Amino acid sequence: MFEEEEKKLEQWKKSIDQVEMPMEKLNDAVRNGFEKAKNERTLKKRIIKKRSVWSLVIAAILLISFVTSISVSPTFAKTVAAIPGMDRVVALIKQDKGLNAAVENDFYQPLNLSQEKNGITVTLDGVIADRKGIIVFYSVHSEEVDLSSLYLKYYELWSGMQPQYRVKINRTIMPLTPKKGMDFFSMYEQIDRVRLKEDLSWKVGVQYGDKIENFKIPFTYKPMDVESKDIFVNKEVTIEGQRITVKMLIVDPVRTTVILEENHKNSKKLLSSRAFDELKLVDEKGRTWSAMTGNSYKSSPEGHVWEIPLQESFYFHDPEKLTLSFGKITAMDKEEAYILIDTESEKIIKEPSESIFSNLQVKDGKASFSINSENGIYNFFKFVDADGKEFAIHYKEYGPAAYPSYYVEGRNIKISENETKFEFEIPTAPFTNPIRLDINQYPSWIEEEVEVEIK
Amino acid sequence: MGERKMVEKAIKGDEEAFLELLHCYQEALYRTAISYLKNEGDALEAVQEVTYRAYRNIKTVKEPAYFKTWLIRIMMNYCQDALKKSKREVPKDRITSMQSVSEDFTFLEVEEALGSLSDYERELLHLKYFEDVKIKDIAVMWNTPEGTIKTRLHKALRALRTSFEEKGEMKRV
Repeated sequence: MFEEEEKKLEQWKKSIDQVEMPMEKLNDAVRNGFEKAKNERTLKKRIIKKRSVWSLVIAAILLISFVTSISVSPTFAKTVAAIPGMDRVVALIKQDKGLNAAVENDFYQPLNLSQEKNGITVTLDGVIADRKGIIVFYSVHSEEVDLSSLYLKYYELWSGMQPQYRVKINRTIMPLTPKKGMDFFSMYEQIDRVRLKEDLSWKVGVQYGDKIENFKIPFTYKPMDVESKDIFVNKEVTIEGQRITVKMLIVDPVRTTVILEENHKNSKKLLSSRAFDELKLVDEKGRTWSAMTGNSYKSSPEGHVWEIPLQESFYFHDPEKLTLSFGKITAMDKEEAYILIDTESEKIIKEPSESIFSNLQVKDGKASFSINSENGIYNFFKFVDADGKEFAIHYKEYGPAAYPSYYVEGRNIKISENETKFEFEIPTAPFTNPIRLDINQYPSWIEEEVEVEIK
Repeated sequence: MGERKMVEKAIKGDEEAFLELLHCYQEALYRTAISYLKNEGDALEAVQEVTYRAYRNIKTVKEPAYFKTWLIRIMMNYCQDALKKSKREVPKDRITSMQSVSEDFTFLEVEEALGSLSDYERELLHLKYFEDVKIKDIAVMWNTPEGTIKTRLHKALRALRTSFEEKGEMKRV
């Protein structure tokens, strides 16, 4: 039927088959791609761990932080050279098809504002912003200092005299870049769910030796004026007896968020920020949009509505068909989702049947116990004493405490690959044993092959 | 070691297995890239980027038997995006050896016709005629009935024919 067309295609294939193979360069290309992915993976892992917990102080934030070294081809660099800093931005967002599309559709606003202090220059390269959030691209540059000896201490977004968003990095665990001999490094932060007003400034603290250089770069921008392409779904599914409704998808140029609601009669508790880590959407072409891990979010601990941001937005891709699947959902029996301890007798009174907690100790005004799990951080956000009095637990990494009532300091100490010690201050205010800590993270899952047709 | 075994190891995070597989398919990837992008520099960059993406997404490989096709599809996606981007760019030096292969056949003609297809159609033709993937396997991979794939393939070939014919007419004029 189509012999002639097929013949032409065959010939076309043959002619391409005859193209010479630059074998050595090809080997290098594979190796470079692999190295880049590997470097990034180790970096990203550390970042996600550090930030995988809800912050009660700034509950309504969303974080994505990608760190990558810069490698653009000379030809491509030339075409974007017209806009200062654009090459860096393009290199940074290469792996995000959503942001890529946003840039291609001219939603990137170059700013190129720099501040120099003691040989270190911080540049605010530009932003992509809509009405719901902003992505800030910035870079650090120095002719005098090797960037592997610099540490990012904090970054903040200010509106007028108020910080709207701040992330503090307490320990100097990670230099700007692990690579020696770099004089340039770019990053970006996606900041959602903050109200952005006038008089914005981007603030960054860079540590060099014992000194912290503070940079503050004021800027203005225009949010892109586009409509969301929201998809209403409202379909209920049952996974191992637990009912979950897919409410809708909020589709904006720079982010897509899946809204789910758990039935309040469910017997299981869905567990915190990692609950929907394996959720994903697949379109008719097999393109996949995965949930941003560690970012499942409920606006209040008692609520039932979840927001799951995807790693990339499909706003500009307009898939014809979309299917959602859940994968493993972290969940445990509601009745078991707490640990009851007595700080006087130093005993764990009640814990989940498959326990990972042990070794409760009280020493120097602090209580601690071991958590045996490779999954690291199991932050507890509060404890409740026998009389129902609540004490919030505050973690220094997440900025200053802003609690109305009592609070104590808590922290996680990594003992080994499979063991973490959780420690919190015993309050000076009176309280009655035993005390109860609600579990927000646990190695327990529900899983069932369920798919939801989104479109 | 069998390929399947190797892919399984790679999915589990075995870096050596991953690298070996990629080196094994780098030529196929490069050819695909050349067929879209037409010049060595861009094609090499594409191979690097696809290696990078493959490593990041290795966990999403569902069926080890389709690993190669999975790679090729990442490449095609990348190339399609790159082409869209390059519409704003100045044309680059193309590999000239491709144009003089056969006298009774114009490379440019096919290329232009392919360029007029949708991403989806081009992908389909590429898998079928370039990678020799069976319709049956495409159907499984895309989770689409075989009949539908056949219909779409015919539609793509018809579009190709139309494009050839238009070209012919223009020549006659």
